[in-house]
Amino acid sequence: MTAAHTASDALAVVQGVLGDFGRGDIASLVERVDDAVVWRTPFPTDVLPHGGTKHGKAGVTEFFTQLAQEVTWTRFDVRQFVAGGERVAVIGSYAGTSLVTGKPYAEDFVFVFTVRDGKVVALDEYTNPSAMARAATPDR
Amino acid sequence: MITSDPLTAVRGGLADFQRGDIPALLARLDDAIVWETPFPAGAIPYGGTRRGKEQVAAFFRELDETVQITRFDLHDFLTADGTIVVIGTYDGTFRTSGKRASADFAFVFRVRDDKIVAFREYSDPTAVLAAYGAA
Repeated sequence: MTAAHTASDALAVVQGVLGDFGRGDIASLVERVDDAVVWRTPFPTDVLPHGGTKHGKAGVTEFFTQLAQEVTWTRFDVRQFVAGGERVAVIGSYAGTSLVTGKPYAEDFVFVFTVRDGKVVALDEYTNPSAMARAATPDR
Repeated sequence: MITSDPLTAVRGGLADFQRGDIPALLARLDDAIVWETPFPAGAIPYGGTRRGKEQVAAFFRELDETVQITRFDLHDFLTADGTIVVIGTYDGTFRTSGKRASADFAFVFRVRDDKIVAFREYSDPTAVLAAYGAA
């Protein structure tokens, strides 16, 4: 298999993940991740329980269950895919509202997916978690 | 015809930084460079968005005055259409507090005609701001 073939396969898997997320089909999304997936985001778990590191399909399912209890999305824009070998970077921005406080947030992100044998084995989100954490924190 | 190689510009710029050769790095930037990090202006000396080579030069002076970088590891380079994503980790010791911080990052560079026209660091600034003493 050529490197270019691998990169395009990885891109197709990641586009499938984002498509599932956009439709809210988490069961389909979880089928695209490896049993040993490591899913890392920088959100402080004291105010945003979906944050931190989740492991395996059960961990990813928990991530999306917690996320749906914490926030509602008002915008989720993917600007660019940058693929190389087994990795795909997704550059974009999102905005939403905290379901805990009603406060809005917006931030830019880079998701880096690692794909092996057609399955996501790692997700690393690179972003500043401050805006979402502030939105999830009740005003004193 | 000049053939453009965005990856060469970015790899060269990062190597310049690792050697401490900031003038060489600045020579790889477009005059209209936009340089963004997750560090807010006012929270830390090198925070805030910088525009143009003079402001980027000031960024590197302020960075050096604030923190001693003790590790700067690059894990992967991804490239598409003049965009380069660099994934890595840095550690540093803050000169005033003596405290250490580490962060994983994705750097996104935009390159046009062999010059870097935009840089953006995507990372969680929490540990750095706490070690500096801003938090």
